[in-house]
Amino acid sequence: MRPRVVLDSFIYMDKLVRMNAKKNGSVSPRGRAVAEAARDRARRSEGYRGARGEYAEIRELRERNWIAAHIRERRYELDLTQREVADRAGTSHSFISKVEGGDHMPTIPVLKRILAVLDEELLIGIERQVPDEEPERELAPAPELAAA
Amino acid sequence: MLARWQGRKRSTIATGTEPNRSTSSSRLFPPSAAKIDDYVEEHLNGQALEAPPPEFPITSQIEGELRELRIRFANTRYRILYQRSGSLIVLLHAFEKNTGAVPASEKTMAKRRMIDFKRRMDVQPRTPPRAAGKDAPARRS
Repeated sequence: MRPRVVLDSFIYMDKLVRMNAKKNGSVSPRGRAVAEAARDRARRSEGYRGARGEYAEIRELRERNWIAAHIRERRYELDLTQREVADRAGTSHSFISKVEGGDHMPTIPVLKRILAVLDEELLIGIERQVPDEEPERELAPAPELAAA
Repeated sequence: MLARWQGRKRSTIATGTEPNRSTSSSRLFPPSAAKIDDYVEEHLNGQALEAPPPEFPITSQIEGELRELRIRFANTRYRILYQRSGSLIVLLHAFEKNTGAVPASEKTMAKRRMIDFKRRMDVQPRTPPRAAGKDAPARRS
Protein backbone atom coordinates (compact mmCIF):
# COMPACT_ATOMS: atom_id res chain seq x y z
CA MET A 1 0.00 0.00 0.00
CA ARG A 2 1.32 3.43 -0.92
CA PRO A 3 1.30 5.95 1.91
CA ARG A 4 -0.54 9.21 1.44
CA VAL A 5 0.98 12.17 3.13
CA VAL A 6 1.21 15.87 2.52
CA LEU A 7 4.03 18.32 2.82
CA ASP A 8 3.79 20.66 5.78
CA SER A 9 6.93 22.60 5.14
CA PHE A 10 10.01 22.58 3.02
CA ILE A 11 13.40 24.11 3.30
CA TYR A 12 14.30 26.79 0.82
CA MET A 13 17.68 28.46 1.04
CA ASP A 14 18.02 26.96 4.52
CA LYS A 15 14.82 28.52 5.78
CA LEU A 16 11.86 26.49 6.83
CA VAL A 17 8.86 27.58 4.77
CA ARG A 18 5.38 26.64 5.92
CA MET A 19 3.17 25.06 3.31
CA ASN A 20 -0.59 25.39 3.28
CA ALA A 21 -2.12 22.40 4.94
CA LYS A 22 -4.72 20.49 2.96
CA LYS A 23 -8.35 21.43 3.40
CA ASN A 24 -9.09 18.38 5.54
CA GLY A 25 -6.32 19.45 7.88
CA SER A 26 -4.16 16.34 7.60
CA VAL A 27 -0.54 17.41 7.89
CA SER A 28 2.37 15.06 8.10
CA PRO A 29 5.82 16.02 9.30
CA ARG A 30 7.31 13.32 7.16
CA GLY A 31 7.10 14.80 3.71
CA ARG A 32 5.25 13.97 0.58
CA ALA A 33 5.14 10.65 -1.23
CA VAL A 34 6.95 10.79 -4.53
CA ALA A 35 4.09 8.94 -6.23
CA GLU A 36 1.68 11.64 -5.14
CA ALA A 37 3.91 14.44 -6.38
CA ALA A 38 4.21 12.60 -9.69
CA ARG A 39 0.41 12.37 -9.95
CA ASP A 40 0.18 16.12 -9.43
CA ARG A 41 2.77 16.75 -12.11
CA ALA A 42 0.87 14.47 -14.49
CA ARG A 43 -2.32 16.41 -13.84
CA ARG A 44 -0.63 19.72 -14.51
CA SER A 45 1.50 19.00 -17.55
CA GLU A 46 0.69 17.31 -20.79
CA GLY A 47 4.39 17.20 -21.70
CA TYR A 48 5.05 15.28 -18.50
CA ARG A 49 2.25 12.78 -19.17
CA GLY A 50 3.59 12.13 -22.66
CA ALA A 51 7.11 11.62 -21.38
CA ARG A 52 5.96 9.22 -18.62
CA GLY A 53 4.19 7.18 -21.30
CA GLU A 54 7.31 7.15 -23.45
CA TYR A 55 9.49 5.96 -20.55
CA ALA A 56 6.99 3.28 -19.60
CA GLU A 57 7.16 1.91 -23.15
CA ILE A 58 10.95 2.11 -23.18
CA ARG A 59 11.07 0.21 -19.90
CA GLU A 60 8.92 -2.53 -21.36
CA LEU A 61 11.03 -2.65 -24.51
CA ARG A 62 14.20 -2.94 -22.43
CA GLU A 63 13.04 -6.32 -21.14
CA ARG A 64 12.96 -7.66 -24.69
CA ASN A 65 15.80 -5.81 -26.37
CA TRP A 66 17.91 -3.33 -24.48
CA ILE A 67 19.74 -2.05 -27.58
CA ALA A 68 16.44 -1.06 -29.17
CA ALA A 69 15.34 0.54 -25.90
CA HIS A 70 18.61 2.41 -25.62
CA ILE A 71 18.39 3.83 -29.14
CA ARG A 72 14.78 4.88 -28.64
CA GLU A 73 15.52 6.52 -25.29
CA ARG A 74 18.60 8.37 -26.50
CA ARG A 75 16.89 9.57 -29.69
CA TYR A 76 13.90 10.76 -27.67
CA GLU A 77 16.09 12.68 -25.23
CA LEU A 78 18.17 14.30 -27.96
CA ASP A 79 14.89 15.25 -29.66
CA LEU A 80 15.76 13.71 -33.03
CA THR A 81 13.29 12.12 -35.42
CA GLN A 82 13.82 8.65 -36.86
CA ARG A 83 14.34 10.29 -40.24
CA GLU A 84 17.06 12.61 -38.92
CA VAL A 85 18.92 9.71 -37.35
CA ALA A 86 18.52 7.63 -40.52
CA ASP A 87 19.81 10.41 -42.79
CA ARG A 88 22.87 11.03 -40.68
CA ALA A 89 23.59 7.31 -40.23
CA GLY A 90 23.06 6.57 -43.92
CA THR A 91 20.08 4.20 -43.49
CA SER A 92 16.35 4.58 -44.00
CA HIS A 93 13.85 5.73 -41.40
CA SER A 94 11.91 2.51 -41.80
CA PHE A 95 15.04 0.62 -40.82
CA ILE A 96 15.46 2.76 -37.67
CA SER A 97 11.79 2.14 -36.94
CA LYS A 98 12.26 -1.63 -37.15
CA VAL A 99 15.36 -1.49 -34.95
CA GLU A 100 13.49 0.54 -32.33
CA GLY A 101 10.60 -1.86 -32.54
CA GLY A 102 12.95 -4.46 -31.12
CA ASP A 103 12.44 -7.09 -33.77
CA HIS A 104 15.37 -6.17 -35.94
CA MET A 105 19.05 -6.29 -34.99
CA PRO A 106 21.32 -4.02 -37.01
CA THR A 107 24.76 -5.20 -38.10
CA ILE A 108 27.72 -4.00 -36.08
CA PRO A 109 28.84 -1.32 -38.59
CA VAL A 110 25.31 0.10 -38.89
CA LEU A 111 24.81 0.08 -35.12
CA LYS A 112 28.13 1.87 -34.79
CA ARG A 113 26.93 4.58 -37.20
CA ILE A 114 23.55 4.95 -35.46
CA LEU A 115 25.25 5.34 -32.09
CA ALA A 116 27.71 7.86 -33.56
CA VAL A 117 24.71 10.01 -34.57
CA LEU A 118 23.51 9.74 -30.96
CA ASP A 119 26.93 10.92 -29.80
CA GLU A 120 27.97 7.54 -28.44
CA GLU A 121 30.47 4.85 -29.31
CA LEU A 122 29.85 1.14 -29.71
CA LEU A 123 32.09 -1.11 -27.64
CA ILE A 124 32.07 -4.86 -27.93
CA GLY A 125 32.62 -7.06 -24.93
CA ILE A 126 33.69 -10.68 -24.87
CA GLU A 127 33.51 -12.92 -21.81
CA ARG A 128 35.17 -16.26 -21.12
CA GLN A 129 34.18 -18.53 -18.27
CA VAL A 130 37.11 -19.61 -16.10
CA PRO A 131 36.51 -22.42 -13.58
CA ASP A 132 36.52 -21.21 -9.95
CA GLU A 133 37.30 -17.64 -10.95
CA GLU A 134 35.61 -14.47 -12.11
CA PRO A 135 34.92 -14.61 -15.86
CA GLU A 136 37.59 -12.99 -18.02
CA ARG A 137 36.34 -10.01 -19.97
CA GLU A 138 37.60 -8.01 -22.91
CA LEU A 139 36.02 -4.76 -23.99
CA ALA A 140 37.09 -2.80 -27.04
CA PRO A 141 35.71 -0.30 -29.59
CA ALA A 142 33.91 -1.99 -32.49
CA PRO A 143 36.31 -2.21 -35.43
CA GLU A 144 36.10 0.18 -38.38
CA LEU A 145 34.99 -1.48 -41.58
CA ALA A 146 35.70 0.57 -44.66
CA ALA A 147 33.24 -1.35 -46.83
CA ALA A 148 30.32 -1.29 -44.42
CA MET B 1 -0.80 6.77 11.26
CA LEU B 2 2.47 4.96 11.77
CA ALA B 3 0.98 1.58 10.95
CA ARG B 4 0.50 2.74 7.41
CA TRP B 5 4.25 3.08 7.12
CA GLN B 6 5.15 -0.33 8.35
CA GLY B 7 4.38 -2.29 5.21
CA ARG B 8 6.91 -4.72 3.84
CA LYS B 9 7.87 -2.45 0.99
CA ARG B 10 9.94 0.66 1.08
CA SER B 11 8.33 3.88 0.09
CA THR B 12 9.96 6.98 -1.15
CA ILE B 13 9.17 10.44 0.07
CA ALA B 14 10.65 13.78 -0.79
CA THR B 15 11.60 16.43 1.69
CA GLY B 16 13.07 19.69 0.51
CA THR B 17 12.73 21.64 -2.69
CA GLU B 18 12.29 20.67 -6.29
CA PRO B 19 15.34 19.88 -8.44
CA ASN B 20 17.62 22.64 -9.62
CA ARG B 21 17.14 25.25 -6.95
CA SER B 22 19.19 27.80 -8.91
CA THR B 23 16.28 28.19 -11.30
CA SER B 24 13.55 27.30 -8.84
CA SER B 25 11.21 29.91 -10.31
CA SER B 26 11.05 27.99 -13.59
CA ARG B 27 9.68 24.46 -13.71
CA LEU B 28 11.91 21.57 -14.65
CA PHE B 29 11.69 20.50 -18.30
CA PRO B 30 8.74 18.02 -18.17
CA PRO B 31 10.54 15.10 -19.90
CA SER B 32 13.46 15.46 -17.45
CA ALA B 33 11.04 15.42 -14.54
CA ALA B 34 9.37 12.35 -16.06
CA LYS B 35 12.67 10.51 -16.31
CA ILE B 36 13.62 11.39 -12.74
CA ASP B 37 10.24 10.19 -11.44
CA ASP B 38 10.52 7.03 -13.51
CA TYR B 39 13.96 6.33 -12.03
CA VAL B 40 12.76 6.87 -8.48
CA GLU B 41 9.81 4.57 -9.10
CA GLU B 42 11.85 1.86 -10.78
CA HIS B 43 14.94 1.82 -8.60
CA LEU B 44 13.96 3.14 -5.16
CA ASN B 45 10.22 2.88 -4.63
CA GLY B 46 8.55 -0.35 -3.61
CA GLN B 47 11.74 -2.39 -3.28
CA ALA B 48 11.81 -5.07 -0.62
CA LEU B 49 13.02 -3.77 2.75
CA GLU B 50 15.99 -6.10 2.84
CA ALA B 51 17.04 -5.46 -0.76
CA PRO B 52 20.51 -3.94 -1.17
CA PRO B 53 20.71 -0.48 -2.73
CA PRO B 54 20.78 -0.47 -6.55
CA GLU B 55 24.30 -0.87 -7.86
CA PHE B 56 26.46 1.69 -9.62
CA PRO B 57 25.79 3.44 -12.01
CA ILE B 58 22.17 3.69 -10.77
CA THR B 59 23.17 4.76 -7.27
CA SER B 60 26.41 5.24 -5.43
CA GLN B 61 27.46 5.94 -1.88
CA ILE B 62 28.31 9.53 -1.02
CA GLU B 63 29.16 9.48 2.65
CA GLY B 64 28.02 7.14 5.39
CA GLU B 65 24.35 6.36 4.79
CA LEU B 66 23.95 9.21 2.32
CA ARG B 67 23.60 7.92 -1.24
CA GLU B 68 22.98 9.46 -4.63
CA LEU B 69 20.62 8.40 -7.41
CA ARG B 70 22.26 9.13 -10.75
CA ILE B 71 20.07 10.17 -13.67
CA ARG B 72 21.12 11.42 -17.08
CA PHE B 73 18.69 13.08 -19.45
CA ALA B 74 20.32 13.63 -22.87
CA ASN B 75 23.57 15.29 -21.76
CA THR B 76 22.35 16.71 -18.46
CA ARG B 77 23.27 14.88 -15.29
CA TYR B 78 20.92 15.00 -12.33
CA ARG B 79 21.68 13.79 -8.86
CA ILE B 80 19.27 13.06 -6.03
CA LEU B 81 20.80 12.72 -2.61
CA TYR B 82 18.81 10.36 -0.43
CA GLN B 83 19.02 8.39 2.75
CA ARG B 84 17.09 5.50 4.20
CA SER B 85 15.18 5.94 7.38
CA GLY B 86 13.49 2.72 8.41
CA SER B 87 11.01 1.75 5.72
CA LEU B 88 11.27 5.15 4.08
CA ILE B 89 13.66 6.47 1.53
CA VAL B 90 13.96 10.17 2.06
CA LEU B 91 14.86 12.23 -0.97
CA LEU B 92 16.79 15.12 0.47
CA HIS B 93 18.17 17.19 -2.32
CA ALA B 94 18.17 17.20 -6.10
CA PHE B 95 20.43 19.19 -8.36
CA GLU B 96 22.05 19.33 -11.74
CA LYS B 97 25.61 18.10 -11.62
CA ASN B 98 28.02 20.25 -13.58
CA THR B 99 31.24 19.50 -11.74
CA GLY B 100 33.48 16.49 -11.24
CA ALA B 101 32.66 15.56 -7.66
CA VAL B 102 29.47 16.29 -5.75
CA PRO B 103 30.10 19.74 -4.22
CA ALA B 104 30.40 19.88 -0.44
CA SER B 105 27.64 22.52 -0.31
CA GLU B 106 25.13 20.09 -1.85
CA LYS B 107 26.11 17.39 0.66
CA THR B 108 25.75 19.84 3.51
CA MET B 109 22.28 20.76 2.28
CA ALA B 110 21.25 17.10 2.22
CA LYS B 111 22.66 16.43 5.67
CA ARG B 112 20.91 19.46 7.11
CA ARG B 113 17.61 18.29 5.67
CA MET B 114 18.10 14.82 7.11
CA ILE B 115 18.59 16.35 10.55
CA ASP B 116 15.49 18.47 10.03
CA PHE B 117 13.53 15.44 8.85
CA LYS B 118 14.57 13.35 11.87
CA ARG B 119 13.72 16.19 14.22
CA ARG B 120 10.22 16.45 12.73
CA MET B 121 9.74 12.68 12.76
CA ASP B 122 10.63 12.48 16.42
CA VAL B 123 8.16 15.13 17.52
CA GLN B 124 5.35 13.65 19.61
CA PRO B 125 1.88 14.59 18.42
CA ARG B 126 0.60 17.50 20.45
CA THR B 127 -2.50 16.87 22.56
CA PRO B 128 -4.85 19.80 22.17
CA PRO B 129 -6.00 21.49 25.39
CA ARG B 130 -9.42 20.43 26.61
CA ALA B 131 -12.22 22.54 25.41
CA ALA B 132 -13.69 24.84 28.00
CA GLY B 133 -17.33 24.60 26.88
CA LYS B 134 -19.36 21.50 27.61
CA ASP B 135 -16.22 19.61 28.67
CA ALA B 136 -15.48 22.08 31.42
CA PRO B 137 -16.10 20.84 34.99
CA ALA B 138 -19.43 21.82 36.40
CA ARG B 139 -19.35 25.14 38.14
CA ARG B 140 -19.76 25.01 41.88
CA SER B 141 -22.76 27.02 42.85
